[in-house]
Amino acid sequence: MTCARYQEWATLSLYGELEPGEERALEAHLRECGACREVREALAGTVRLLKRRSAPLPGARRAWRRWAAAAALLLGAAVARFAGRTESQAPPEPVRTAAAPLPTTALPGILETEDRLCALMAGTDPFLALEATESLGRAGTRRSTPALRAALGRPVTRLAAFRALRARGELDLARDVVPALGDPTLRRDAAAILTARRTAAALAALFAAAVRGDETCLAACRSFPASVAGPFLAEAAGREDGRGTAIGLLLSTDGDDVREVLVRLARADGWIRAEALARAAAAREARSDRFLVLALADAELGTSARDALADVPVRRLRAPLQAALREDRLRAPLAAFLQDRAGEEAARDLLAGLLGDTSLRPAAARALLAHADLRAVEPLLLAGDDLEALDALPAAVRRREIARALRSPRLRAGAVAAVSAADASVWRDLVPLLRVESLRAPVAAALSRSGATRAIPFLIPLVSPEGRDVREALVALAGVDAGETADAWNRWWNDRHLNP
Amino acid sequence: MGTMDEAIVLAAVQRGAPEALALLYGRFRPLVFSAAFRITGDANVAEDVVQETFLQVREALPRWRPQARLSTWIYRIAVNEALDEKRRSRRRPVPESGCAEPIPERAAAPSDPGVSDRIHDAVAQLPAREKAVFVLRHYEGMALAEIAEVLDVALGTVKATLHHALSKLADRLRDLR
Repeated sequence: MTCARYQEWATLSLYGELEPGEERALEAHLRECGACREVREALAGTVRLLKRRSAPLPGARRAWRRWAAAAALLLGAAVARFAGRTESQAPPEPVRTAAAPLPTTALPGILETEDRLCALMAGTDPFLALEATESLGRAGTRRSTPALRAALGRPVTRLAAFRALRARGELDLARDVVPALGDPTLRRDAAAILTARRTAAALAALFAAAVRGDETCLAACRSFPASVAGPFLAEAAGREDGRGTAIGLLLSTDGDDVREVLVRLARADGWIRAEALARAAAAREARSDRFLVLALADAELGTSARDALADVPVRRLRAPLQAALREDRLRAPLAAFLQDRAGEEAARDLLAGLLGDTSLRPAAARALLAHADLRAVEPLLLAGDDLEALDALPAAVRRREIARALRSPRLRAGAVAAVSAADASVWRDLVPLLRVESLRAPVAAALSRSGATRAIPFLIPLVSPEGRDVREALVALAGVDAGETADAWNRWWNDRHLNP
Repeated sequence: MGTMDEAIVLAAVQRGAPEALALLYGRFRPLVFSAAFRITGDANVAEDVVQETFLQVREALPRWRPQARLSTWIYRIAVNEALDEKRRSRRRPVPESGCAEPIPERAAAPSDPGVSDRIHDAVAQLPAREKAVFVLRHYEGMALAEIAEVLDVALGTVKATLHHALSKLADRLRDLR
């Protein structure tokens, strides 16, 4: 970097426009470079001079003349005089009358100014009227309250007067705030005041405006806590006027408690049930999706909810379903819904997550396997239970999966147990397992179930008086009992093949 | 925008509420005048700039879409207008005379009454673009990024321009430091 660049940085540093890293680099350079240090001193001295002796604005004098009566300046001067400060001192802090009302007898300067501000506020010049109103809002006393109330009636001063009265705590909820919901200029402020109250009465006022179609008030209604919103909206949903709005809010207000309220209402009232489900299905919003999930899991609403969701893909509900499946009371009914929708990948994904639940595993596995989703195979084989669920697979797929599992030490015990009469072709994979002592009995039984007569020569050498399982398998496959020794079975085999 | 919310005023203007432009004028007039005067150095020209700026605002505001802050947009109109006026105007800066009493300055000032004039002249002699950048940063307290938006130039250009302006002022006011 050149010195010219560092000197530019020196200017930027004086105006607080350097990044911390640049600031450090500049300081490091200045420690080493006398020329740049000198330039920085000159620049800094100039900035100090300019700040010390800022040339007054002639236009400001004109503005002073033009706005001589303007409220902010008048009131500022009066407050400064009262505070005993000279004009060369910093201006006083704004007077907060709401927090600490001024003793009116002690402040003739302010009161005189306040009267003039009131006159300006009611005057014909809209700019002055507005400035006067804002000034009274910042620093007036209760003396000007009637004038501010009058200013509520003028479009130009309405908002400033409303805020001024609010700052003083002089707005009456019923007389001022609730009617202000009908005024587009004041609506947002009024809604904010009512929202802060968090009471049922405040919610009722906002709700009434929301029913008339006001979006600001509708949004404000959503922010009420469930403890207030739940009971109020439950009652509102039962009235003819605005019940649709109430249902919409029950769907979209924060808190699961509110959704539970809606479930109870929907159980009892067919219109509410249909309306709530239709709105929720169309809403595509997390809170209403939660209602849908609760409805799906509800014994009385489940059927209607399924109908309402007939055209809604499960993947839209994936997140709320996933959350609900962690709740014991909801898991079984939701699993039933997912089994019905197992043709959809999102439903199968969720079902796969239920394979660890012993009570839900068979049904979930059947639903998955019926759609050739093989994620169920391994959990079933590992558990060794409910293996008949594998019957849902097409036969060829089933045999392939069992053969594959027989080659896996982790899965082979389950695979051996899963072999059935439909799996004769897997005998080649079973026979090597006869050498494993611990598996011999179940493998022999599996060969017996499969009806694979081609496995007989492999079983014969293993027959012994102690090993009944092998002999029983041979009896089942051969249809005869040749004896309790391998020699006896060898003779039978030779006779059969030499004298067919 | 002080007690007003830009969005509320804008919505009011755009739906034709008559008081909204008045609110806007009341709030921005002093800022526009201040910037215009410091750039043109002439109170009469600055008044013209104010009027022209708000005429343009009134014309364009109903169609304005917020790509920048409302204040930045108004500054941009005002500063461009002030630079144009400066170029057009052949008038010499007229010293303010016959005004009402001056606004007292807050800081304790040096006794030399010529210092303010020297500063005023030194700033007035800056090239127009340097003056605009310097005025907006030093007097109006605007961030350099916002100045870049107002003047529609790169941030790097604004930084370099500010340094050139301050260097020139340092040179011209050397004996006063």
